[in-house]
Amino acid sequence: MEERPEVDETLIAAFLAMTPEERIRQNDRTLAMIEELRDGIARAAEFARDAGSKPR
Amino acid sequence: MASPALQSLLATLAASHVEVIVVGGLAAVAQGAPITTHDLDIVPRRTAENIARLVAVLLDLDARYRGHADVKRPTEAILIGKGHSLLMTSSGPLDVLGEIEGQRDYDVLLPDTIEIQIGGNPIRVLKLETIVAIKRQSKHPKDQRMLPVLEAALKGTPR
Repeated sequence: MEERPEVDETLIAAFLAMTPEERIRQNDRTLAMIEELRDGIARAAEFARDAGSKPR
Repeated sequence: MASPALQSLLATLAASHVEVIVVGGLAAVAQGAPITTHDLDIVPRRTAENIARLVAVLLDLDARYRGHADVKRPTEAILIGKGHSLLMTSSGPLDVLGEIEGQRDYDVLLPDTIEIQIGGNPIRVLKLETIVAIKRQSKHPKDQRMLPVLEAALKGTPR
């Protein structure tokens, strides 16, 4: 169990340990997750509009 | 189900029926906040069954704690607790948060989430308005610096 630091130096170290290609792949993965989330939220909102209610 | 290496972390968690709430930067970005983030923050439901599913997924993804010279793996005994586990997986960095600011755990946050589908499986995302409310209460300088951006995103109409 670890408390969250103000500046996450472990994340910085993890990215510094990557090769440039690995960093690009990681950025691509993050972008893919953002797209998954955005698509999912848009579909949930559309479903809620169709159902005449707010998103669950 | 695709192999974990080919799926996003989110899709893998959803496909494995792990109950989590996506919080933090990715949740905000997905709801229109113009910020950058590099890791996925999740708050898991802390029941024994759900944490067992989560640990199984994490071990499949070769998860280990960041910032440790030796390899330290997440365990059910650790993740059932309220603390924060900062992990690196084969699919990228992942922060597993037992609870977030104000002792908010999965059950507390649940009413303020949106259920979405990823690959046909449900996963929950913390609403932007709740993220903003939590940041307003936070005394952390990082949260205070981010607050104006999040508030603007909440007022605006994200494209």
